[in-house]
Amino acid sequence: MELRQIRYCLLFFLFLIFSITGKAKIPQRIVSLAPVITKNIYLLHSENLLVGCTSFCKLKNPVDAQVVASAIQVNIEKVILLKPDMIIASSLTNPETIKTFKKLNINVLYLPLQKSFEDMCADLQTLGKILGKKGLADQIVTKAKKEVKSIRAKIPLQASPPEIFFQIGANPLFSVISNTFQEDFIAFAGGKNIAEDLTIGSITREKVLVSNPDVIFISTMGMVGQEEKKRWESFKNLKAVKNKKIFFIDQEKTCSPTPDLFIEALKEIVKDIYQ
Amino acid sequence: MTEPLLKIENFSCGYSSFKLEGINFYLPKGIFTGIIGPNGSGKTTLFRGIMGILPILKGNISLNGKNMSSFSLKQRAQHIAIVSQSADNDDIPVEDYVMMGRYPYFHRFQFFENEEDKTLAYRYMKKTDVFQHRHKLISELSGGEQQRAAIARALTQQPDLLLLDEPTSHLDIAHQVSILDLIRQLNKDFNLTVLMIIHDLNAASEYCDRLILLNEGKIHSQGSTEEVIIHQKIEEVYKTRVVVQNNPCSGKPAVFLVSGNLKTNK
Amino acid sequence: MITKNEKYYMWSVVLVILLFILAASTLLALSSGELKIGLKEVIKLIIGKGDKASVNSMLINQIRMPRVLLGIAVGGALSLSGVILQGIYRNPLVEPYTLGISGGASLGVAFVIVLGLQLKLGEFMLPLAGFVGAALIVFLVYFLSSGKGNVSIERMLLTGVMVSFIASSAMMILMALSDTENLHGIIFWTMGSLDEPNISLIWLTMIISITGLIFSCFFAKDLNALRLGREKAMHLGIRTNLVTKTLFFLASLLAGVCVAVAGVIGFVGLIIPHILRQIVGSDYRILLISSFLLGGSFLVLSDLVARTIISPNELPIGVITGIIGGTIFIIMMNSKKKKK
Repeated sequence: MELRQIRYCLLFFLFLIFSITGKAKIPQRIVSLAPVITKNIYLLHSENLLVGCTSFCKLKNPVDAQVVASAIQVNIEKVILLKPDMIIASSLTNPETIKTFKKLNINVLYLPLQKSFEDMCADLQTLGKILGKKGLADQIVTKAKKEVKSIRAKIPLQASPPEIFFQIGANPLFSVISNTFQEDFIAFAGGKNIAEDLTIGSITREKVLVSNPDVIFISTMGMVGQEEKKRWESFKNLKAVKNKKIFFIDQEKTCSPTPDLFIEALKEIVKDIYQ
Repeated sequence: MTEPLLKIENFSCGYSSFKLEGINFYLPKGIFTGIIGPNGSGKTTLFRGIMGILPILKGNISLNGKNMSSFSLKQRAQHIAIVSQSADNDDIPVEDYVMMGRYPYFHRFQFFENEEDKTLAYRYMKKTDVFQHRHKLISELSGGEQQRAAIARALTQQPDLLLLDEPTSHLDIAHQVSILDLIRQLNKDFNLTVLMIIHDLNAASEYCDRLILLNEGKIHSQGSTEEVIIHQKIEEVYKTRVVVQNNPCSGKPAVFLVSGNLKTNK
Repeated sequence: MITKNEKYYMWSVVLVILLFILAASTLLALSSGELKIGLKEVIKLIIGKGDKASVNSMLINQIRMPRVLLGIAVGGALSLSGVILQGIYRNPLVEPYTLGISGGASLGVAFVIVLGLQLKLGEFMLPLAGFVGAALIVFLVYFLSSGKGNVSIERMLLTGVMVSFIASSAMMILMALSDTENLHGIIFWTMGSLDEPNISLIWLTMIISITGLIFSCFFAKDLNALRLGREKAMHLGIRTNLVTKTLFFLASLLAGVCVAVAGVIGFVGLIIPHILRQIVGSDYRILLISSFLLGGSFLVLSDLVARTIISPNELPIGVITGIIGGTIFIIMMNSKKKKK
């Protein structure tokens, strides 16, 4: 009798220790320093772990987290007051700020700007592992990759890939360039980016005119987007104008998407190009 | 008696800190009048009032019988020309500088000077002996030559009255004499009425037909040189001891200053 | 040593040369860009013949020609504004930027961008904000520096400089508060661009610019007289106060419109008059027109460099005028030293 009791106690204690240390690995108070990170946290149903975010993060409920930063500037004191055990930073965060947090012995996870769809998925999986939602993350990623494959398979064959101009800024005119996840939109849709050789995104209107793209996507919102469309339409001899292929894309989907938002955008883009 | 050129009656102008009051004098045509007085007595202020830069607070100024308060700045410039103290060190060619004297006669839309303007400018440049410098810049001339150029410009305005504000203050004796000789000659040759502020009492006495002695914003005395340069008056106004004797060459009264240290043995 | 007639002859020669430079710059700018278009074709397309549906026609008529026209208008107006202000202040370092006019305009635009007003109310809010900002600054500077009816020039200059500093600091605050997208927009705007889609705005600027030139020419003799100093100009019958006020407003209007339409393009009002003074002297009868012509050419050429030098990317034109202008300035200062 006594030995069995001792064994059960040991097991019980081992179980306790294991679960406590296991739980300690998952951060309980997270500060997100980029909108896409916040979106991913929601995606992984871990918003209960979120305590701080930026002013541009979209919160489903304003009480979910406190605003502690603008797009590029972090209020360090506010962050410290929240007693976070993990800060997730992006390439937009000032490296000095990251250093400061490290000096204060706060855990910082650095997720640089995603350069491709693959990166996006990898980031989600990294986040999943840390938040103890590995299973969910893997599930989402697998589903997304499957969907991408199926979308790509359904693209009608063309004699030559359609030339695309993907505008993400106006005044100055800004294009999507290579080595960004946005180019994956174009690549997966079977198109060719007219700005693939550019090293920085600012492009002259002349270059676009001379390249004469088949489709123009505009990812800017509101009045500016409308005016850009009008501007393009004034060049009556552009292929995109003649074929009425100038489209708007929601900025939320194209500038800081999660994998599922990426899929939504991709579907829209494919539909717009080939209908 | 013919109408005086300039009549200043009960005139007052100035600033909140300093005013001229009750100024009364007439300038007969063709007469060379000097204005003397200590620093701050209001000499330049008076000129500013005549030129219309300071508004008239009381009294009036009339030119040839017409009240000058109705004159525009342009009209004033056609009748009164002034040569003032400060040197112009801008990079203007002398010829252009003198030609500016014709601006009061330009129409609003006139761009270039006409033949008459050119003739007058050349004539006066020759008269003041700066014609040979006409292509140089003003800044390249000596002090005396700059004054002559300024006088040429003033003459080009074809004024009835020439005002001069201490034209010789920065010049050495030789140049002083040459400028003052020139002015007197212009006064005689063109029957030009001259009103000159001068600090050198002896030069004033030598060259001016009449004198006005200003003190603390008021006219202390006016009249011929013998009537004004009297040692009590000079001492009263300048508040320093002087001796007045006649210039051995011209017979005009001359002022000798008395050093404060010297024990006079008179 | 030149006689009077020779001087006027030299002026005509200078004007002819400047017109030639302007024409040459225009043709060069029209033929260069992403695609090089030969001169013959350029001329054909300008006069309306040639294939209207071709890429070349699009490039020339819809992109390059508007930029060239705006470049001439803005370059001319900015130089003119600089010359006039230098005449009023009798100081060669004065130009719209140092008087805070450009600063005020930038502030107005930054304000609108940060509040996102141009997204809600349309892109025209930007030029309007620029103009209002510039106008407010003009009134402020004027109000702060006019004493008892007399306009004190030194106070104007100091006030303008201070206001310009305050405006830049305020802009920094706005920039610190805004998000990255807006930041980009503000920065790019403050560095200037001749890209303007609304062709009527371009014509408006051209009209204001040329009207300003003609109007200022009537004040050429007044500006000449002002070289002697304000009081001496009054001795020559010039109504200095009225002339100063009128010219100041004209210079501010010209600068304000330019900043409103093309952003902040600095140095033009400083460099061009300075260069011309070395060549033709300080007589405003020639200086006003020649500044306008040379300023127009300079800006057209600067824009050409801005859009071709790192093709297919584009630099803001303010960067080019800053570099070229600054370099020329230093060269001239040094050659002047050597002469002395």
